[in-house]
Amino acid sequence: MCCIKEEIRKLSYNKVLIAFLTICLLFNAGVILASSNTSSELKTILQDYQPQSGKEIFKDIDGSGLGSMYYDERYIDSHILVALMHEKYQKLELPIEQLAKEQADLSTYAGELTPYVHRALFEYLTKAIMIEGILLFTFLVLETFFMEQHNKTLYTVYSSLRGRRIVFDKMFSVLLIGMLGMVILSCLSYFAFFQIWDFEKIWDANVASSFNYITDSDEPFLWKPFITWTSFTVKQYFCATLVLMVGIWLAWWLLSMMTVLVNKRISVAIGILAGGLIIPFFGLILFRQLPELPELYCLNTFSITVNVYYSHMWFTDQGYHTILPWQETLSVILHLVLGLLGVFVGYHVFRRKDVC
Amino acid sequence: MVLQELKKIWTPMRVILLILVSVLMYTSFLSPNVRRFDTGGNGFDAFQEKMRISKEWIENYGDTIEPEEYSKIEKGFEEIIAQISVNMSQKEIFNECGVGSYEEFLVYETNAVNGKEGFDYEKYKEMREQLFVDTSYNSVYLQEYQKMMVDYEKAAVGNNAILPWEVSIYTTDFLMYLSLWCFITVLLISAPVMVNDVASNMNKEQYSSKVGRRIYKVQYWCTIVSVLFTEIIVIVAGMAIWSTTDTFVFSGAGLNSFMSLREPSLNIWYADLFTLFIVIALLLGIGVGSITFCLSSRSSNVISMLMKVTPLAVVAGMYILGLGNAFYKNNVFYGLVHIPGIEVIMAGVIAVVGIVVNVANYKAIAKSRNM
Repeated sequence: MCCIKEEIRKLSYNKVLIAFLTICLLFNAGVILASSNTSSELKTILQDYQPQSGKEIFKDIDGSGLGSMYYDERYIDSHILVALMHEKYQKLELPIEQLAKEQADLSTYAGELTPYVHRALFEYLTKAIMIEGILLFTFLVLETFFMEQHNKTLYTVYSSLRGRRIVFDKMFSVLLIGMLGMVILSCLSYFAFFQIWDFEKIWDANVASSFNYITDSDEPFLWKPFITWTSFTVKQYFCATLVLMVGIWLAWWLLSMMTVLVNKRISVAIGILAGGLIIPFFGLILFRQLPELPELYCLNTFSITVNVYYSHMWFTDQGYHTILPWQETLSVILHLVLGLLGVFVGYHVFRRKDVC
Repeated sequence: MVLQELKKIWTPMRVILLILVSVLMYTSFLSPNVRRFDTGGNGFDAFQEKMRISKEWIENYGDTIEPEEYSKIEKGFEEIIAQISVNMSQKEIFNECGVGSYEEFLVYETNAVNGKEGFDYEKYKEMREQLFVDTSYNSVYLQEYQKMMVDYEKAAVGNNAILPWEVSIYTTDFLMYLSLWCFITVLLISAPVMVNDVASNMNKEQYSSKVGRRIYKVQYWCTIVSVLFTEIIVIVAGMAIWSTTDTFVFSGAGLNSFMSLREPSLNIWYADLFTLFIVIALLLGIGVGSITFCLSSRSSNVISMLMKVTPLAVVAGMYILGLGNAFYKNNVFYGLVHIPGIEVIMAGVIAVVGIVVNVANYKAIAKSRNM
């Protein structure tokens, strides 16, 4: 127990960590201010707010018809992937019926300002916080694991079995400090956001409102309806996004741990982690240009980077970017499981390997 | 000393990393802008025909269209129509369908496509195939020609340059990503050097004497020279690639084109876009390279350096991505401050800040007695 306290103390006394969190907070403030030019118009709309002023759209939408725009396109060279896409859009018909029954499309949300509001919260701010969390956990893991190497106490600490078990103290200290840092950063950022954007009357609106739509340069549709796999109010959607965001942080924490446990050299660890973040992003553009290998593009969509990149479309069908319903959730669970296995294996490798 | 410092910067791994990053950046972001100008493929593309017409007008009338030249353009269109009509009169299918002119063909086309009685769709298809057979024109060419004439008539006074809006947008996008490419190479060169010396405590030995403290200057200049050298290679490569698009024919055209609804914030030519972006990239390279060098020298290990450099990289990256629509009034920076040339001014400020920060850091190192 005393080791975990020491590990926490080493991390929390790091001035650079505090500077990093402060810069992130300032950055988030900048993002909030830059995306809040229509917040005063929202206040005007909310003065005469009517909860249901949208249009009926779900009655005319057919899941398979929507899916036909995606079927024989990116995954055409793989029968399995095309079949999975077909199945995904057939399964979408039930949620569309449910949303139509609940009249989710009639929900006002934020009226004509819905796309701006949704983008400001879920695309800009939440995505920024997610990326900051991933970076923070990366830095904390690297900092704590290579501290002994920098301080030249490596041989002393890791020369015994008890010494090597310190990795668990390091793991949990990173988890505690990282989560604490991100909770403080998120709370302050969202507090500032909700001071500028008045969400009081919006929380109970349905995110699948006809005023909400997806615009994506990769989409064959100009404005695609925001069709969620289940009915979400804005509050529920926000909570689900936060939970998935924490899941992503935990998954990245485990994958970073696995990387540092099997690597002696800091440059290799940094390279692997940087590659793990950057390559999937480039893969979105490059793998699309390889229609003969659709499996590459499909596999890439399961990565953490791609999930974060399309976070503003979570819990919807997501067009080309998913082949399974709730893929973003499944992907995070998969990463958590692989991460846990990876850490287990990584620790056994670490326990046996030489330090020099 | 200089050679040793350059060897520290130009390690084989770093060179390989620079090449890999360059390949990724080019294939992901720059090549799509270049491919838009590809003339291959079947069929006639509206953009390609617009480019063709623009180049013809530049060849005949120069970089701008004056009112008296516009009347020649209108006459030119009439001559093309007359030539097509003569061509039509020599083909039986047009006589069969009672189509004597291009305008009559367009009417027949509308009615045949809408399935109106008396207008045979198969005959329309045959007429469409025969229409431009002995000419160098096509329907898309005529369409774009007419659109360009309408654009000229609607354009504000003074907006008479020949520069398709697509060319200016794709060019600024290309140059923006080229600047991003330069920026990433700058980070890769300037970030790791000093922190390795600090992490291995070599700087304590270096700064233990007055002569030794001057090594900071040597290291700084080696870094900046390396940064500029890499940027120049990237810029030359970028310009060589862009020259394949054949858009340098618009070099003398102003940004105040009648074919664009965007209003330029600076009275410059198309060629000046390249010059200004190169200046921005070089100034940014000096500024960001200098700040990164300073942060790296103040970091006790690589992780500490990464934590300091990452926010800088994000902010600088966002500045570069904000260069979309640069030198037009709808640019995000111009929209905030309404100062013409703000894009270059910001890069200049970053360069000055970087140099000042390093001068201050050097003076602090030179004065300090305790390391």
